[in-house]
Amino acid sequence: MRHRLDRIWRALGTGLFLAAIGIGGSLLALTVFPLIALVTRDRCLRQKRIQAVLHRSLRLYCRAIHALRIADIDMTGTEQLKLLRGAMLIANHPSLLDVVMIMAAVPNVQCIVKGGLWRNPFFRLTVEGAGYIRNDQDPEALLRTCIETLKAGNNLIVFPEGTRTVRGQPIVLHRGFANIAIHAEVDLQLIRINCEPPILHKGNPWWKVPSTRSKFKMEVGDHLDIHNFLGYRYRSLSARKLVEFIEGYYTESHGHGCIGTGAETADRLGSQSGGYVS
Amino acid sequence: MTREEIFTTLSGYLVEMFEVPAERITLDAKLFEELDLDSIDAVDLVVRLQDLTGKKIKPEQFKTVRTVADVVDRVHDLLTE
Repeated sequence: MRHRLDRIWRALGTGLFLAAIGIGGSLLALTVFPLIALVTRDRCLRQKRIQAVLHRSLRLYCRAIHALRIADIDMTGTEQLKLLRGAMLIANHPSLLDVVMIMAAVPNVQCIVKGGLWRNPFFRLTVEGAGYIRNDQDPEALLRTCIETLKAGNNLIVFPEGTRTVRGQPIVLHRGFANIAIHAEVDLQLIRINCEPPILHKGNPWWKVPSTRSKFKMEVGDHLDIHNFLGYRYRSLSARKLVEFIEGYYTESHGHGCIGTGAETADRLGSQSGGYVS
Repeated sequence: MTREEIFTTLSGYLVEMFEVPAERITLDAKLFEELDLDSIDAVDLVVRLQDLTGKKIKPEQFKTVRTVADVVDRVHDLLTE
């Protein structure tokens, strides 16, 4: 009986917290963001303040999910991410909560968001107010916008799988993130997210919660110096090598649960550098 | 340049710049779906083709390009203009 109640509580809570993102975000966009805009003329500073509000709200949000025992969220060891400036944050994407956890861990983030959300009444105000980048613009314009935001010191979150990870399927990455990193010449911070048992994953409605409480774990992975990938004759080749590398990284970390020790990466990079064309 | 020569040169670019396996390059091959080029690659390819033809290529001339044959045709048109 207790177990059953716990499961119902988690299902209800999951729905409640999903709704809170939409409603809470919209409320912020209607009250706090305009206030910030009113007192902050400078566009850059305004964005920073809005980012800070979102960061703090989402930190609180994650703590609440944890405290109300809807899911366990473990972000220990991710404090170093707060120091990042102008880097790309690359992560695997097991659930809907991933972006929330990253924003709770890193203060100054920008993200690329599905254009459809600008038509979604639930999210429209939030994504507009936060000034996120639409993915449905012309690819060259999108690339320019991303480079600009990185140069301004923002960290850009990209889930290179393009959509949530489907378990048991090979990891295939889109090349867009690599084009951005190569053109902007910025470093990449890899992040690994694990959620066991899965919840809010692709193709699963929110109310179908697993029989035991899910545990989210976010871990800091390798920090990749983009210069290790810039030695090729064409940027198109650099982008392909970068995609290959990161595909390998996440495929391995999925297979073994945990991977990416410094030594292994150095090994891999070392063996790659032999193939550089300069 | 004849169409055949343009095709050969273009194939060379595709292999060299985008690691497209040579055996997959045919006139009918679709650049984006089959040869795995993306829109940023296309921009780089256009720049390379400008160098080849010595002519400025307007983006709209390449907006409708889908297959290898389309590229060969555009380049051929440019060279015979």
